[in-house]
This record gives sequence, structure tokens and C-alpha cells, in this order.
Amino acid sequence: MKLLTRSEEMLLLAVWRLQEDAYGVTIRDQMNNVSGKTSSFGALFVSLDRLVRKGHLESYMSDSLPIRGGKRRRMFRLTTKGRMALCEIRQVERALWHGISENALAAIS
Amino acid sequence: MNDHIRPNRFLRWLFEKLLPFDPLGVSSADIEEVYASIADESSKRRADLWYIGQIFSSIPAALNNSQYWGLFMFKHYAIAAIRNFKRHRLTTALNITGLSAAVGATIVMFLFIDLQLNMDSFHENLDDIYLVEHEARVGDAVDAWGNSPMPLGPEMAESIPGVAATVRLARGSASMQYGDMIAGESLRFADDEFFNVFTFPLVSGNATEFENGRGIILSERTTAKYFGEDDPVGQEVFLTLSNGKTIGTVVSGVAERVPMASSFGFHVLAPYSYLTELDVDLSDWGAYTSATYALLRPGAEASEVEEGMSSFLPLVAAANQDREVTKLMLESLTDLPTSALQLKQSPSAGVFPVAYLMFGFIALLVLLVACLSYVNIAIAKAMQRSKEIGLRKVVGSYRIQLIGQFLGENIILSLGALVIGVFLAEFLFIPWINSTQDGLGFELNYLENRLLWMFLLGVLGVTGVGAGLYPALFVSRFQPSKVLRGTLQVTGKKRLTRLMLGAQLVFSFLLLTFGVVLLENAKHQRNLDWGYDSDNRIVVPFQEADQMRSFRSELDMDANVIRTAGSTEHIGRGAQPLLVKYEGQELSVDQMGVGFNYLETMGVRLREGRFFDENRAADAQGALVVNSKFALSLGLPEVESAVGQFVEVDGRQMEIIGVAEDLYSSAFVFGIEPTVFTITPEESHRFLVIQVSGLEANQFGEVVLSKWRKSVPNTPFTGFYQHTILDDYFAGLDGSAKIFLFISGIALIIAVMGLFGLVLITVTKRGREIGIRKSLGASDWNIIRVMQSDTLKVAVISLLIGAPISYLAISVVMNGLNQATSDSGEAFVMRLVFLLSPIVIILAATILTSVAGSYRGARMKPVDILRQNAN
Repeated sequence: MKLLTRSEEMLLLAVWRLQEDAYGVTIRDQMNNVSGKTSSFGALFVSLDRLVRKGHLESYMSDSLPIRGGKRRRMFRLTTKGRMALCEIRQVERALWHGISENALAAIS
Repeated sequence: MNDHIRPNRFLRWLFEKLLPFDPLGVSSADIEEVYASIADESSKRRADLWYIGQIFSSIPAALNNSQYWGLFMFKHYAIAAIRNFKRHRLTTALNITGLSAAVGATIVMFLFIDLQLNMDSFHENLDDIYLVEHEARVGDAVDAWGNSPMPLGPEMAESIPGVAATVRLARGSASMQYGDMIAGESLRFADDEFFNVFTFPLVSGNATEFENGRGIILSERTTAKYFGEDDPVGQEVFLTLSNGKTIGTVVSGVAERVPMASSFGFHVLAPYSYLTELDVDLSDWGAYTSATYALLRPGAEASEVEEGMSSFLPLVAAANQDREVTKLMLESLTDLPTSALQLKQSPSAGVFPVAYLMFGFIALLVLLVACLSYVNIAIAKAMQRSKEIGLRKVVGSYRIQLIGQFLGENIILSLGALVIGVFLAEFLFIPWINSTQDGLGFELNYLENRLLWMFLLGVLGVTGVGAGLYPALFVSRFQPSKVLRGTLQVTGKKRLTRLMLGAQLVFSFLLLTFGVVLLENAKHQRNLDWGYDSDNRIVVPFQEADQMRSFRSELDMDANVIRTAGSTEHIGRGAQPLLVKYEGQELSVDQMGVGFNYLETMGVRLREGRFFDENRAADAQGALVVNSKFALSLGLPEVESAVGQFVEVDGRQMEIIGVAEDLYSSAFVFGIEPTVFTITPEESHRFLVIQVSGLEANQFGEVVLSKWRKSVPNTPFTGFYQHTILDDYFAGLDGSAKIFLFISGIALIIAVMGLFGLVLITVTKRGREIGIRKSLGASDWNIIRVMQSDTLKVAVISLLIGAPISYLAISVVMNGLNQATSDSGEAFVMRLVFLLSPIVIILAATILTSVAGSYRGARMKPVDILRQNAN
């Protein structure tokens, strides 16, 4: 299986962290908080859409909410495949960073 | 939180377009949630700005995404197309073959037309080169002439400021000698500015010696003949001109092969000043050179130069008393191909506009027929995919997507056909045509010919879009519910497909008839009696009577030589025009000057009277032998009674002593002219005919050659067998017949494939009927008969339409080709016979294809058909 890209990883982690509260707005806020950069909604929905098609995420509809004029939210959650992919990328990253401390990197630069 | 604040409707619509597929609007609702919160916290304006910012920053992702899906769908469509091609291997193959054959044929036609219309266009100075012409009145006729007075060119270059340079061209012949090698060569004399005006690159050497009037330029072919692999530049060669003078000259340079698109070429290019050796007075305004080209200075107007030229008119008029020269003018080299036909003595061959329009028309029609047949098959195939289309529509395919899919498939298919067509043209058609017509050197210059590329793209557009559009529009209109329920009725299109098929059949019928007629005509002419004996005759052309005498005495000693005879004109090599007066009427006839014994030696058959007799002194002066046609034209009751009549020739009374059977003195197209034979003195003889026996004729050729070497050394041998004299003519006839058969073959193949498509439609459409018939006990053959009756009707009707048209066409062609066979009921029967074979071919092809097409339908198990149709 292909490794996740960095943005995919970030998205999946954001969904994981948000648990039952993961939908477009919260996911975007989470992403912005973590990375410190703002991303557009267009890019966010495209990426979420692809992750759903790849089987890492699944979506379901929330109950209808009065604050949205009765419209429902499209909620996301991780699938087993998505969790496995996250575990895998975690292992790769650990191996990648093995024996390198952040201090050492900073000292060189 | 105020949830009633929403962004502007237009902005919302815009953003929706940029988001991934979101029919429920949940993604937009997410964004609006944020929008509302911003509006709540600060202001609506701020929220709007944020929203617009989001729209803009979403564009890259949206573009990216659309490409992603584009690729995704492309892959999907490609798989669908490939599966579909695989499932209908036969029809796909047929489609590609038909189209590529048509494309190949069109390319050949294009090259042919392009070549003719762009004659001479390779010269760098093309736009500034003009041919000098003059207008002259002879009798009542005023014509433009392509030749020009000899001194005109240099005078123009000297006195008219707009003229940069002029080049005169003239023809001649010489025998050329280098070491032991001697051969006859045709010369082209040209002024020293030749290479500055025209673009003929040199392979080796340079033009300096030529421009100094001391050297010649050779073609690569001539170089190879004399020098082989050696370097010819600077070598001394000798030219013996037709008046016997010998000039020593050096090879100045070797020219590259002259492009096929050149209206004149050369093997030996000699300085114009060599003409003085031929006792030509270069300053005589009454003498003409075959062409004068003028190179104008950039910016100079042709009309101004023409004005300047008019000052020479008095000089020309004074030197030409017999013909009134009324005007001197210029004609651009770019206009020459289309106007050369009206030009007398044109240096360029010129284009028959009608002929080339016809060629182009035929090519386009073949392409059109191919497209029609393609449409037929494509519809048939689309019908079989109606369920796929229905399903696509049900899952949400837009009509435009379906059109795109089918059009795309057809464009891919025709792109494939285009590639194959180019291959066909390059590796099959062009080599084949080049091999049939000697001297034709068609080439596909892919890189240089921009027009060809545009043309090929045009062809692609016509075939892909033209042939694909109709089926695409047609199938995308299917209603899914009807298709899937199996109640789709395709009506109204039948008439159109039949019409298209009929048109194809009529057209290929016409072409096929033409091909057959031309082929039969070629065969017929080969078998025609030439009117004399052409076997075992060797003919040797001469320059000087002395040579002939010694050679002849050498020959007379050989036991295999039956007879030899000299002549001034030779049968098969043209005659002289002559005006004859008989009882007040003037007859223009052909005259052939011959020696005693010539008619006997050539095996001319005597009808009445006698041939010339060497022992009768009067025969040399006042006697004529005429052919039957001449005797007929005297208007006497019987041809035989012409003997003993007197006719007036050049003010002298001459007696007709014999009437010979008609004979063809030139190619059959020209028919038989009234001809008189007269005795000419030996000094004027230019041909020697040798009748041999005993040995095989070709063996004897060697003997003649060795005797020639012995008695006339240092002169090239140009003898030939009389029976080969019309070979070029026959080769030309065969060539045109072949091209026509080739085109008609392609048209027929394409039409047959259209037929196949029609049968497939019928079988698909009437599937349930076939199933029911079969389950009620119909046999396979029964089904086939029912299925093909439809197409057979179309074929018969188109034959009925095509036959009279073709008959008319045959009559016209046959009348044009040869007068000898164009009369009476015999010709009528012959024409019908010509019609017969195309009819048989087309009927057979029709029946065979429709049987083959319906065979599959007929072989299907009724259960399968009915089950398929039931759901």
C-alpha cells in the first residue's frame, strides 16, 4: 500500500482527534491550528473527498441542526484502513527520525 | 448566532462549481456556517470578503481536481472504447481499413494536385521570376507564346532598370565524349545568370567555369554514367554538336537531382554562347529561343517592366514579317502552372484545370463515401450499445458527456485510420504508382510540406467529427427507459442509410466501369493491327547520309538482312503537314518522305496499284502512294479508283500510283490521318530500317550494334526495335487504367463495408423477428434470405440508376479514346459488355457481404436472441 502524504496524514489525525465532532469546519480549524497556516475550503473538501474514495475515511450524516437552517452536517470518521495507514506512517516516521534529536538538527543549522 | 445571514446567491453558485460533487449542499453549508459566524462576530462585509477570498483560494484545488477526474474519466472511456472495439473486432477493423484506404488515396491525390499546382515553387526567387511571353497574330488567331526572340533577354537586362537578370534557355543535342565513353545527350543551353535566378544546388564543384562560358554542369545521373565514382569536376569532355562541330569543355559542377516539381530539368547544362557554334545568330530578332526568364529587382512592378519591354516591339515586328507580334509581356512563375495551357510553345507543361478538379473531386468523393459508410457502421454499433447508453443516462450521464464519449471514440478511431492511411500511402500506394508511371517520383515530405499537415488534420477533422457526430447525436438521444425495457424503435433512419448506401454503390459502379473500360481499351489497342509489320525490324536514326551509306553497305553483306531502306519520316515517329489540292478542294494531310523500298521493308500492305519503283525515273519526282483514308477523302466512288488520279502539291501535279492499307503512324489516340508517301533524296534520310530474318531479332540487335561500332565509330547508337516504338504509349495507358481501377477498388471496398453496416443494423433491429422465425422452424438460409433482401433491393436500384450513367460515361470515354471503334451496333454491344463485369462484381460483392453480415444473426440461437430482447 502506498504511504500517506503529509497532508493526508494531517487530515486523518485531525479527524481522529475530533472524534464525534469531525466535519468540514472543525477539521479546517484543527488543521489551521496545528500547521499555523490557513487552507481553503475548496482544497479541504477535495482532499476529504479523495480520502473517502480511497477508503481511509467514511462519512455519515448528522441529525438535522437548527443552527444551519435545518441542514445536516457531513461528519467524517476513520475507517480501519485509515487507522492502519496512520499506524504505518507512524512507524515509518519513527524509523526515519531514529537517533536524531531536534536539538542536534537545530545546532547544525 | 444568526443563521439567516447567507452570502450573495451568485457567489454561492460560483463556489458550488468549485467544490467536489455535493448534491446535498452539505459542503456549502459548512462554509456558510463559518460565514455566518464571521458575520456575527464582526460584520457582513468582512464575511463577504472572507467568502470571496475562499472562492479564489479554492480555484487551484478545483482545477487540480477537475484534471484528476478528467484523467479518471478518460481512462474509463478508454477502457469502454477498447472493450467495445474488441467486442466488434470485425466492424472496427472494417471501419479502420475503409477510412485508412480512403485517407491514403486522398493523400496520393493531394500530392498529385499539389505537385502540379506548385510547379517550380521551390525556387528561392519564385516571387520575382517571370517568363517573357509575346502575343502574336497568325492568320486570324491571336495567341500568347512562351518562346521569345533571342536578343530580347540581354537587351532587357541592360536597358530596363527593374530587371535584375535574364536567363535564356534553349535545347539541343550532342554526343558527349569522355575517355572511351561516348553517348548521345540532350543539351540545355542557358545564360550565365542561370544559378543566380533559379535555385538548383550543386553537389560538387561550382558554377564559375559555366558562368565564364567555358564549362558545363552535369546532372548526377549523367555524372555517374561517364565518371562512375570518380570526381568529374575539372575533367575535360568533348561535345560534338548536331552540325558536327566538336567543342572541348570542362565539367564545372554537378547539380543535385532536379526536384520533381520543376517544369524543366537538365542532364547537361551548357553555356548559351555555345549556340554560336551551331551557327545561330544570337542577335537575330527573328530567331526564337525556347524560353526567357527575367528576375525582377525586389519591389519592381511587372507592369513597369512590360512598359519598358514595349520599346523592343518595333525591332521584333521588323524581323518577323510572317507573323505579327503585337505585344511583349511577363507572366509570373507562380501563375504559370494554371495558365500554361493557353500558352503556345510553353516551357512548362501546364495543368488541365478540369482534370485536376476532377481528381480532387474523386478523392473527396471517395473520402465522403468512406465517411458515409463509417456513419452507417457507427450507427449499427451504437445500436448494439444502446443498453450501455441507457445505463449511463440512468446513473447520471449528461447528453453532452455521451456525445463527447462517442465523438471521442470516433476521433481516436479516425486518428488510427489516419496514421494507417499515411503508412499505406507511403509504403504501398506511392511506390506502386511510382512503379507504374515511369519518371514519376512522388514523395511525402512530412517536414517541409506544411500544407500537407494542414490537409491531413483537415482529413482527420472531416472523418472524425463528420463521421462521428451523427452517430453521437443519434445515440445520445435514446431514452433510457425505452432502451432498458427493450421497446426502443429506431425508425426514419432507414431511408437515410439506404440513400447513403445507394449513393456509394452508384459511385463505385461508375468508377469501376471507368477502370474496366480503360483496361479493356489498353488491351484492345495492344491487339489492334498496326497496319504494317513491326516484328524483326530494327530502326537506326542517323545524323549524316555518309554514315548511313557505309553502315548500310556493311549490313548488306550479312545473310540475315533481308532488306534495308532509308526514310526521312518514320512510321511511329511523326509526319509532316502538307496541303494538297484536288479538283478545287484543299486537303490538309500528313506527308511522309521515304526512300525506295521503305514501304516494302516496313511491310506496308498494298491495296491497289503499286509501290515506288527505283527503275522508273518519274517515281522520284511526281509519284505518290496514299493511304486508304486519303483515297476516301478525295470523294471518289471507290477507293481503288484513286490510282491514276493527279493531285496538286506545291504547284506540281503528282500522280497517285498506289493505295496502301491504313496504318497507324503515331499513337492510336491520334487515329489515322490521310497520308501521302513521297520519295525523298537519300541526303535527307534520317532513319534506316533493317528487316532481318533467320536469327532471333534481339540477337541480331547485337550484330547491328557491332557493325555500327565498326563503320561509324565515335557516334552513339540510338537504334531500336520497331515493335517497341509504342511501349511508352502503352505504359501510359496501362498506368491510367491502373490508377482508375485502384480508386474504384477502394470505393467498392468502402461501399461494401457500408453495406455490411447496413446489414448489421437490420439484423440487430430485427433480432426478435429472427428469434421468432427460427423458433417457428425457419432455417439459417431462410433467415439470411429475408435479411439480405433489403440490401439486395438497394443494390439493384443503384445498379439501375448507375447503369445508364455509366453507359453514357463509357460512350464519351470511348469516343474520346479511339475513333476507330466508336461506330455501329458492335460498339453498343461492346459497351454493354463493359457494363456487365462491374454489374457482376457489384452484385456478387453485395450478396456476399450481406450474406456474411446476416450469417451471424442467422446462426444465433433463438433462445439467446429472445431472452436478450425480453429484458
